[in-house]
Amino acid sequence: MLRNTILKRSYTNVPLTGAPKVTKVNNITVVTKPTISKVNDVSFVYGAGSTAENYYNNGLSQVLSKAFVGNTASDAFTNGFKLSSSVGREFQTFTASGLDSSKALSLVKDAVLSEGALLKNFDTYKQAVAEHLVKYENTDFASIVHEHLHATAFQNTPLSVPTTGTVETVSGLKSSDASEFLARSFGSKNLTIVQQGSAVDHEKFVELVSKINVPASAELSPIAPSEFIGSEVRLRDDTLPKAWWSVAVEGESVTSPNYYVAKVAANVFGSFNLTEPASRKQGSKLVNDVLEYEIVDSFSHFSNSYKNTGLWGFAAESTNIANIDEFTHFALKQWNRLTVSVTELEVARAKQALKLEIASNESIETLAGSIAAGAPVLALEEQFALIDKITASDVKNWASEKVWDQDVAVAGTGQIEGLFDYVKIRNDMSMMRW
Amino acid sequence: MLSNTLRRAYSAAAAATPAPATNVSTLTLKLVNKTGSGKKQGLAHLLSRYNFLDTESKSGLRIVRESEVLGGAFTSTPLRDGSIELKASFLKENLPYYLEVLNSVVAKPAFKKYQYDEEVLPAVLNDALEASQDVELKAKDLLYQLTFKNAVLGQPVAYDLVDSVKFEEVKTFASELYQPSNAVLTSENVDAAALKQFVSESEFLAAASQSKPVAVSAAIKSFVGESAALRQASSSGISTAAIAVPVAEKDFATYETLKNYLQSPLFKFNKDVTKVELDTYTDKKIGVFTVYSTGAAPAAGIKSIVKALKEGVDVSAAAKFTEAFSGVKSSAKTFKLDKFNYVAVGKTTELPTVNEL
Repeated sequence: MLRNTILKRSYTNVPLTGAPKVTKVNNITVVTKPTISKVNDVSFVYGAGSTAENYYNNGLSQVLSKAFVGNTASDAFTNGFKLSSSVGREFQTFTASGLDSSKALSLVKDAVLSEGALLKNFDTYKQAVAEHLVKYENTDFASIVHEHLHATAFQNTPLSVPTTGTVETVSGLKSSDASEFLARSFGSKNLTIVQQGSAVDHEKFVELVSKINVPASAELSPIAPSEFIGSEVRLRDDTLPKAWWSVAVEGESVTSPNYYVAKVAANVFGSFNLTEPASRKQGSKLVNDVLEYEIVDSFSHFSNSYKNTGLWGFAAESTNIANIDEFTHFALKQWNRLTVSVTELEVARAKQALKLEIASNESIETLAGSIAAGAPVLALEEQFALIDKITASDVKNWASEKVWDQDVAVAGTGQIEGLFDYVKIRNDMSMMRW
Repeated sequence: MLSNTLRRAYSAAAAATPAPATNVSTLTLKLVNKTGSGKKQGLAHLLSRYNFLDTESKSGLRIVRESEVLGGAFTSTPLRDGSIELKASFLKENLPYYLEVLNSVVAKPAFKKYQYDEEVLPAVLNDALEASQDVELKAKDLLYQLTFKNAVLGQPVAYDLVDSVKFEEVKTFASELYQPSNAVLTSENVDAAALKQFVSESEFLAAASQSKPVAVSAAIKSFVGESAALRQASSSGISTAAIAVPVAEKDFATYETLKNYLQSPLFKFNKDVTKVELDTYTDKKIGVFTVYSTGAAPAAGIKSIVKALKEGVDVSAAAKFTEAFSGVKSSAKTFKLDKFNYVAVGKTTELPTVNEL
């Protein structure tokens, strides 16, 4: 209704890029996903990532990623291909992009399936990852806080292991650690081969994959489920120029029926940047609270989902260090409203924001996240249909169960003297009046 | 953190390579500054920050609130040649709304004085502050100053407060730039037939699609063989050494290939190359090719890069890659660097002078 008053004209039946196709061949899942890209991407997605590592070999996946790109780079470039690789908490991807899917497939296959090829120059890449980490640990505080949030929320369980690795663990790695890791965590059972692009033929691709000889691996070691625990970690450092902090409750898993409800709830508050005029005009009530006294520089809400659990909350940055508690308090009071008084308009706005976010961020990483968690691969249309069904009462029901009066995980670094103690923050998760 | 609009203005990727393909639709309306009007520095930046504030029919607040309910976002980016690029990203079915807003922003802007003081200036000054802390941007500004001297292209993008610009001057600049004959509308992932119909219904865009392009008034003069140095402290202690050459339209493909080659493992010193850009201006009539070496001690890096380029490099191996990713066919075989402009920014005493390259 509201949309119709704004849109004097709209037109329907707009085709998006269509449904993905999935086939299983020789124990390997093959996915073809049509996109509008002129270049085809072929990716090996392993259900491994940082949860398959431990506190002693942490960062190994990063070294493998660097080795994959580095060892084959010249060959790929001359033939017109680009290589990339990424490490998530529950997946690792190895991708070749170019005009020809079959050549891309053979490039990735040769580089990943042969242990000798992947572990060539191991020490050089180990060194490169360690050097990158030194820089990362001194600059990227927002993402460090996000890692710390996972470390405290899921302490002593696999999701607490950082995706980046640490300087100490990476420096101590040996190539025998890598061989052991490959045998334990990379096999045909947790391998999905994904083809993306505009000119893609699924049947042909399945046939090509069926000819690949994936070495029979021994039993892959299972990854234990991660458990959320309300807790906090603070790394106060007054020499840094501002404060970074994050508060979260346990979120939804990728396969949960409330997966999209949690994402819509996060988008009710969305993100905000004090210096952008358009950002200041947003309709969310939290932005209104913040603007009165400009109590925070920027914030963004997230709903991260994994195989059996998730994290839902906000990350904030501020130079206004005397008002950290104000922002935390007002944000959590707005979270309370999710349970008691979130409106249909707020939810309608959040649903559109979520759709735009999903359509803009389609990538092998988002796809790999759901593949690794065992969720079905959905077309954009199907995802949009699921989001369209969500109502304000769905959000209220979800929030009353998962947000209202729930334990939180808190992480912060920089000038966080003003980030009040755990009990004070925990008390804001509910209120005595309605 | 540099604001996204300015970051895009400076990024090579924005100009040279297509954005990653997604299922979001985009409309890009570029207002090309063909006449080099707007001699005062920063006019395009100030005007760009005015876009998507009030128009005659809608307030800026209403534009934001409506577009967030539909699922979409706008950006406005000032370019170095005084052009402005407006962009809308949105869900496919909402094309008519976003087209209408783009049309009204350039056809019927309201330009209110209080918004100039309260919204435009603070945003512009914040952009300029962030831009001033980036050594690579400083290097780029200097290189363009050497290459184009006092022409519009020789000025920095971010308003530097040196020229005093009045509210009325921004308005006048807008009336010159926002003409149908300067407008170029491009779309991605949009139904062409529907777009054609909706364009025919909006006055400004319809006029733009029918008007014959005005020829660029005069050839843009460029200079090579100059150098400059600027001492600048940076919080992370890094310096930049960079070279640039102006590129004629006929050589774009060659330089695109060279750009890919320099960043590939085939180039011996690719680790020293931190960034390579090929930016094109005034609707692709002239380009600038820039190579940066940035870090705690980039002196040795820039020396080896320039030496290798002067001796000549064989770029033919980059042809396939360039065709696939830049969509450009090139038969270029070897490239030899002749005269170029050079700048050093940061700890200049530790960086080479142009004679040492």
